[in-house]
Amino acid sequence: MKVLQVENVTVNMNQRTLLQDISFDMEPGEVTALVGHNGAGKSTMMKTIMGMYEYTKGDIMINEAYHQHKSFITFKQLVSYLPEEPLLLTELTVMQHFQLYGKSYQIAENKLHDLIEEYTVGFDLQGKLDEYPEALSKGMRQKVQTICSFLLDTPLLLIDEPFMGLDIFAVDYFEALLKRKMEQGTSILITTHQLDRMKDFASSFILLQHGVIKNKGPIEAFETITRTSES
Amino acid sequence: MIRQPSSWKAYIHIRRSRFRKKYKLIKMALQMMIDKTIAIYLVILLGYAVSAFFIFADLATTYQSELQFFETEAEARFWLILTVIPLRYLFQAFRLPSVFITSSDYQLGLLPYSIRRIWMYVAAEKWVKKIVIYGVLVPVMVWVTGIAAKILLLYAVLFIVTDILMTVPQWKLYGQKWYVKSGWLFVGLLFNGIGLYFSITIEVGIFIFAILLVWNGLLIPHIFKHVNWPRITEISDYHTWKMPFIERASETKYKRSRRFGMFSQSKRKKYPFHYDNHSIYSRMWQLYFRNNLEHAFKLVGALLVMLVMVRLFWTAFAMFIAIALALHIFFVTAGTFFRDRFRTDLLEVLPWDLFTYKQAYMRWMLIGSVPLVLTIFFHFVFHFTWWAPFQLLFIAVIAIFIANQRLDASIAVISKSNTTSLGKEMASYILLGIFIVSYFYPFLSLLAPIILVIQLRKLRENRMEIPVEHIHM
Repeated sequence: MKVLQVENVTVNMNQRTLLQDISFDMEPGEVTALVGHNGAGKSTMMKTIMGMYEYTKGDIMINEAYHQHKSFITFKQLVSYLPEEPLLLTELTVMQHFQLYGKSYQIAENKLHDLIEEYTVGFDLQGKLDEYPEALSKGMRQKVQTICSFLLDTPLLLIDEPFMGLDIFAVDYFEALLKRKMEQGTSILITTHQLDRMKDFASSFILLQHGVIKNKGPIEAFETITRTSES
Repeated sequence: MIRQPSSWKAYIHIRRSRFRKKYKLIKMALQMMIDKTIAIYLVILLGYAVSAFFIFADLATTYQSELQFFETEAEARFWLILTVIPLRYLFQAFRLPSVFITSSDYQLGLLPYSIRRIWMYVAAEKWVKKIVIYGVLVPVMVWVTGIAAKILLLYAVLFIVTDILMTVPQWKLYGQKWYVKSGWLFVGLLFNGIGLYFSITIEVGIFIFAILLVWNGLLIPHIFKHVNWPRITEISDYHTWKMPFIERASETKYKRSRRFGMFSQSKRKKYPFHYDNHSIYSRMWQLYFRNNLEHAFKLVGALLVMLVMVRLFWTAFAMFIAIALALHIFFVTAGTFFRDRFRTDLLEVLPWDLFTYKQAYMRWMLIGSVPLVLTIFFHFVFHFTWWAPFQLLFIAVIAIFIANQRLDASIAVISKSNTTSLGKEMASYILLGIFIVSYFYPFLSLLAPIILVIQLRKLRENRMEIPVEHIHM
């Protein structure tokens, strides 16, 4: 069963084409690296899958059953998203963010508390649960956002630039959690500029350039990104 | 000797750059949205409309009696208005500083420029803008309406002087806790109430004016003490760069970088939620309304003013039309707020239990409607007939119907479902029409219990119809 199917997706905004005829799919437990230059359309792809941007053509489906347009509410339940910049609310504490995520994805209270305890220790955030995001450093806010998306048990996880702002210990712990998710069968679509790190995890890649897929295939076949002026 | 750089030159440089950037953005947006032919036609149409309305129509003669009434009232109520205007600034202090110091202005203060001077320049710019606006507006109004120049000039001076006198108090109050602001607002309202009740608005007006002078004298030396600059610069950046026209042209929403809540330091608000839908979703609505307090107040305030004015100056039948209009506008806007919530901040990326969000929203909608409900209730108390209870029930039933209709329509948009609610929308218009006609045929209000029963049955069915798809993980 395909976890994610993206077929001929085109996104237009302000009379500009941001993504054109994008097609790819993902198997359970597969990690796909979405690579490309700045402005290639990686984050737009992520946001389109999340339903934050409307696509004008094509189809996006999860588990071969839930079309983004036809079953949007259920579709959202099956995707979790770790954005590049934390989206934390100034008015909610760290714990309240976890609870909001837990309730939105219908996680049982006991399970939620167990996971929070484990992840806060792993990311060294003990004692910060009652703090507001302003009281935390940028790295800590990124850790909170990371925990929010790792609490969830969705078949598809979208991660946008995961290593931004994380210290070396947090990166190690992040990688351990990523491996655990893969073992559990979660499919992960990840964008990053740190390709060396991702080569150990990703099984396939998609190279985007100017909103179109320039190349895709197994990660072993990936060589490097050339300058846009050279292509 | 170290030469002190000129704060004025730095300030002017920032203003020029900002103007150029805004000009460029607007030009780009205009080029994208309007082609030259349409622009020419628009200018001609606008010119025709303005000349037809203001020049050839001779407003002064056509609306002579209304304008005379306005002039007499403006003269008679000058002192009352003098006491009311400062309340607007006290109210604004809940969400806005009086002087917008953007992050660029603040950066100047970190460089070898005086933040005190920069603040003064920004404040003076605001006052000069006001003087120029009134300087143009007053002669135009005198020319178009024929109202005595003395009255209009008096009001222009009043607005400008109050703006100047309230600049420092609003600036200081903005940084205070919510209960301090509420306290001052309460004092202001109290003085107004006393003036109105004992018909001593002149004395109260003079007293308030004197208090403002003393207050300024006390506060001016402490303008820059305990200023929360991140909060000031964040809100100032947002207001300086929020350009609805550009948002519309670029189809993007300008979002605030950080939000500073007035309750965020409250200890109680730091407690974890009870892990149930009600407390979490209700809080999400609370946060949304707190961040959009201005729009919510404007909506309720405008409808309240409309109802009160119609109640005081128009016929009882007009009040029925006003109530119908208020119901329609209130719920249409409430539906828009509901939709907007799910396109804002963190919530945009989360899945939504829309039924529960709707239930939580209904409670907030009810709270927001209290001033309108009270106004309508007292209208029927003062115009009491034996039909009044039925008519009130009829209004309540129509309100429930339209609220559900508008929210369901919003839910259909949010969930990208193809269901249309044209039938329900038509039904809500018909109900509003029946309500207006019920002024002449009050027995129509007896429909209320029947509609209520149908409504309750529909609600129960809808609850059962909420799709709970079996998710294949």
